[in-house]
This record gives sequence, C-alpha cells and structure tokens, in this order.
Amino acid sequence: MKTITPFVAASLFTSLVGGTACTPGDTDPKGDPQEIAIPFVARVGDEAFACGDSYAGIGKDAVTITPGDLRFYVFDVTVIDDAGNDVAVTLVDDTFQKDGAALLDFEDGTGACDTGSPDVNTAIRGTIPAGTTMTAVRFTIGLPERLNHLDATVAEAPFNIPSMWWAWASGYKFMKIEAINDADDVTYFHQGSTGCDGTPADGFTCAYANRATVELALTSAQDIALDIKPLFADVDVEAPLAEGNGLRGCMSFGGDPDCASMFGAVGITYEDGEGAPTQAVFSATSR
Amino acid sequence: MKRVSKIILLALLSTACVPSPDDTVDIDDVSDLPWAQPTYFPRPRIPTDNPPTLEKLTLGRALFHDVRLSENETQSCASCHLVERAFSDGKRLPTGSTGDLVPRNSMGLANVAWATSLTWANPLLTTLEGQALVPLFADHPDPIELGIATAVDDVEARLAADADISAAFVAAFGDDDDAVTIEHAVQAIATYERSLVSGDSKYDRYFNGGDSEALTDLEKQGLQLFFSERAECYHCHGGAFFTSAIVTADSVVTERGFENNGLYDVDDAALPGEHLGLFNVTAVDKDRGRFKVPGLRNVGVTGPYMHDGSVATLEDVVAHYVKGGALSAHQNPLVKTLDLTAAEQTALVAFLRALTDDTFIAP
Repeated sequence: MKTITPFVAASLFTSLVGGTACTPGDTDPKGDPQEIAIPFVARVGDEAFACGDSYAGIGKDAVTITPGDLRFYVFDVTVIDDAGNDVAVTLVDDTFQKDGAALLDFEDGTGACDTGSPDVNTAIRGTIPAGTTMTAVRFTIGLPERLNHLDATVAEAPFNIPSMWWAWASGYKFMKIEAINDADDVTYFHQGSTGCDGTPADGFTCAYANRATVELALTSAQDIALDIKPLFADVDVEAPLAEGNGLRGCMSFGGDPDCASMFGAVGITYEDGEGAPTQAVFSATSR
Repeated sequence: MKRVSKIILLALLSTACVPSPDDTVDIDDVSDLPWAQPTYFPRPRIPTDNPPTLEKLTLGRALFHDVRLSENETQSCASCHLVERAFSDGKRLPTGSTGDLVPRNSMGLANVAWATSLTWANPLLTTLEGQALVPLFADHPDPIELGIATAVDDVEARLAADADISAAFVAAFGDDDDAVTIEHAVQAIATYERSLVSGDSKYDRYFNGGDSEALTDLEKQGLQLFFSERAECYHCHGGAFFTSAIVTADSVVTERGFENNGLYDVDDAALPGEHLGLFNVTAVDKDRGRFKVPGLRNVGVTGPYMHDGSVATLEDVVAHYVKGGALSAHQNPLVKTLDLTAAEQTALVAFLRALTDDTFIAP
C-alpha cells in the first residue's frame, strides 16, 4: 500500500473528526448539517400494514390476503426546499443504508413474512444543510447502476441479503412485495432491471432500467404513505393458474401478463422500463 | 479484501472530501485463517469458541480420515465423504459402520463453512461442530453411522495411546490431561471442514478471472440459461456458492434456504414420511417436502442427486426441472414446466460440469 500524503492524511483526519460522510453543507457558515428522517407508513388500503394480519378486498376479485413481504431500495433522495431548490440528502451509513442507497423494510418476520429477520427500517435517515425547509421530496426506487451489479454473497449490508438479489447481471430486486391468499398461494411483485448481460471484467448493461422516481409534496409534519392495495388492484390473486404457469404476479421479466398494471402502479411503463407520469402507491399523509 | 482496500485508497487520493472509514471490524480480512480462499469469497462465520488454527486443521484432517473414530474401527468420515467426489460418495444412499442403511444421500462438503445449516433438512444444525456429533453418536432407532454412543472412553483411549495423534491434540488444544477428547476432535474436524474451500472452476476463470476463453460456447450458452428466466436455476442456486442457503461473517439476514423442488407430491398420503424433509422438524405445513438447497459447485462429481439419491445423472436432473417436477401444490412456484430444447438442456448440463474444481477434488 502506498504511503498516504500529508494532504490526504489531513483530509482523512478532518473527515474522521467531522463524523459522517461529507455533504455540500460542510462549509456552510450557518453551521453543522441537520439530521433529517423521512418516515414511511405502510398501508393496505385504509389499514396499517402488518405481517400476520389479513386484509379483505384485495385484487381483481376483492379477496382476502395476508402479507408475505414488503421491502424496497431507494437512492437519489432529494429534498426540495421552500425556494424550489433541489437539496441532496446525504444518507447515514448503517445496517440498512450504505453508499447513498437505503433498504426500507416493513416486514418483521412474523406471520407469513418468512424472512427470518425481525428487523424493520421504516425511515430514510440522513443529513441536509442547516436551515433547509422541506416542501417536497423526490427519491428513486431501486439501486443505481454502480450498486446494482454486486455479488450479494460478498457485498456489505444492505446489499448482502440473498432474497433481495437475483444475480450479478440482473442485479437486485428493487421492490419485493408479496401477498398470500387463503390457499397459501403467493402473488409476487419482484421489480428490478431486466435484459441484463455482462461479466465483472466487461461490466454489465441492462435493456430495461425499471426504476421509478417518485416526487411528493411533503413537509416535516408529514409521513410518506405507501399503500400496496393499488399494486394488486388489477391482478388476479386467487384463481387457479394456467397450465404450466407456476407464478402469480409480476417478476419484471418480459411477457409477464400482470407486469403492466403492477409497474404502472409504482410509476414505470412496462414496455420500455422508463418512468411513467403517475403512480398510485405513494402519497403524503399527516402524522 | 484487496479490492476494497484499493477502492478506499483511490477515494482518499482523488478527492479532498473523503468518506469516513467504516468503524466496524474489517470482516473482509481473511489473513488470520489457516486456509486460502478466493478474493471473491466472503469471510465465513466461525463460532467464537472455536477459532481456526493450523494445528486444529492438521489434526482435523487426520481425524477425518481415521477409522478409529468408529466403534468397530471400520469407518471414518472419509468413508462417505471422498475427496475425488468433492466429499460425497457416489452412492444413492450410504451404509453405516454396522450395516444400517442411512436414508439420506451423502452431501458434498465444498464450501460447507458458509452453509446456513447442515444436513438435508435440519434448521437447528447450524454449526459444523454440532453436525459432527450426528454421525458420531447416532444410535437406534436412527441408523448407526460411526456408532460411538456407548464407546466414547474407548475411542479417546485409542487416540491417547497413539503418540503422534496425542501430540497433535496437545499442539492444537494445549498440554493437559484433557487434550484428547471427542469434543476437541469435533472442533478439529470442524476446522478442517471449514478449510474445504472450492472456487477454482472453469466458470470462475471465465467469470471472476476475466478469461473469456475459459468456457466453451456450449458452456457459455448453459451459463446464460442458468441465470435467465428460461431455466430459473439461479433463483435458488445463484451467487458465488450456487445456493442461496449461505451465511457469512457479515450476514444480517440469514436465509433459511429450504425449498420444495417438486421431487415428490408431498400431499400423496402414501409417500413415506422421510420425504417430508423440513416438515419433520418444524411441523409447519408449508415446510412439507422442503430440503436444503445444496450448492452446485462440483455437481458434476457429486451424483447421484437429491436428498435420497434418486436422480442418477445431471441429464435426469435437468429433465426433472423441465417437466416441472411433480407439479405438486407445495412445490416452489419457480419449479414449473420449462420451455427448453434438447440442445439447451445439453448446454445446461455442460455448464454444470464446468463448475468442477479439479484442484479441489485432486487426491
């Protein structure tokens, strides 16, 4: 390993003393960056989401389901201030957040949420420049390309969860939401980039990005509500499957009949994998 | 990991505004382990009460091959775990030292240090130290394997009477009257088993080593299919170890790693109970017919396949999945009929054979 130059050593010392990762506000004369937490509340229609609970009226035929999973990654989290400026949120690194991305996790391993993990993470945590007033928030669901082609076996948390990963080329499941009907059949929503190819040496490319960017008017007195009922609205979660088709719901890959409506619900056009102008899942709600 | 260190160094040198170092222990540092592993493998999770040393590893290798660890001195661990078969035995089902048939196919031991649990369907056996007690002590009504349940003192006395082995116990565990014990033997064997690291196949040279000629065109076609929605294999058999049933030193969430791959219709009342797998431990209905997802490295030499050795060849395995298995209501929905041509199935088998690590299986 090369010797560290005095310049670099000084920078390292400064950042060590400063604590968290650098932010644009580091040199702001107003003072230290302020902490911000952007909380989410998960719902199924009007009811609070909870593993182990049952919810009626879900799906095309309005049947009863219990949740199986609700986790998703976000990155590029941006606060819009009262002058209309974009202010980047610097995410704090911890078990659920790393290198500018966060895993939000609403399932606690109970009921039919068979993940083996009781931990939940329902807020994005980071810092913004002191004195910023939030009027809106913007975030992208998923992982950026630079984080989407790791090996979950060796990656750091939160990128080392095998069930949130597909493979090197296809990357991570950006959203993993599952509903289970009374016959114990699972309806899946596994969203991620598709049409991917490559090797670690050559790099990876994906034909369909499948990343939704959500923007909501939001103040510090509000939470982001995440309602999964619209996600399943046009999906048949109950009828027997067609011959040879073992999967209910959408796993993002081509030719999947439920993907158009499920992608549309989170704001992606299934045909081209690009953002759509509307989404039905996220909204602002007063605390 | 060297790769990560270089990235941090580059970040330091290239920007005035540097990220602060992670304040946790560097779990990627494997320099203390008495075995080598590829840089693309993570650090395994090792019980804190059995830190690995070269002395334990050496003793463990000797004991693994030592028939004195069976009551009648006819079998050792190696009797059912042969190196040239990646530590499986080439039989449908093994036979114990007293002639009992064991109803489970002998599992290969490559990369067993990263297994979430040991044996085919027991989520409670989470350490190699715990698993080793099973073949050593199993007794009727379970099939006898090494059969030392009533002979612990005899086995310890045999080993203690051997000057070389005694010296190895002392070197590994210290110089006192209690050096030669079954407990220490188990710790040594577990350490040896953790060193059974396999990561140097033709696939690795192609994928991790950047050698674009390491795989034939047929094998590359098989690789594409394996990691695609055409064959769906990677959903359960993905990642560096070709199974999702992996735990590392850094794992926050541990996958259970048990699946029903449609080998049998578990709702058939005539099906013998031993094919219910995980259900026999958990008594949870959705666990009927679930078995641990084995890693596929060296799968070309670990046949016959499945928990009961009932699928003879890799061609038969692929045919099983193309058919959709038993089309049972309990099987994982990703086990469904596959639309693969005969040529594509041949490519898949070729790829699976390319997962063999010739260095690992060399005697």
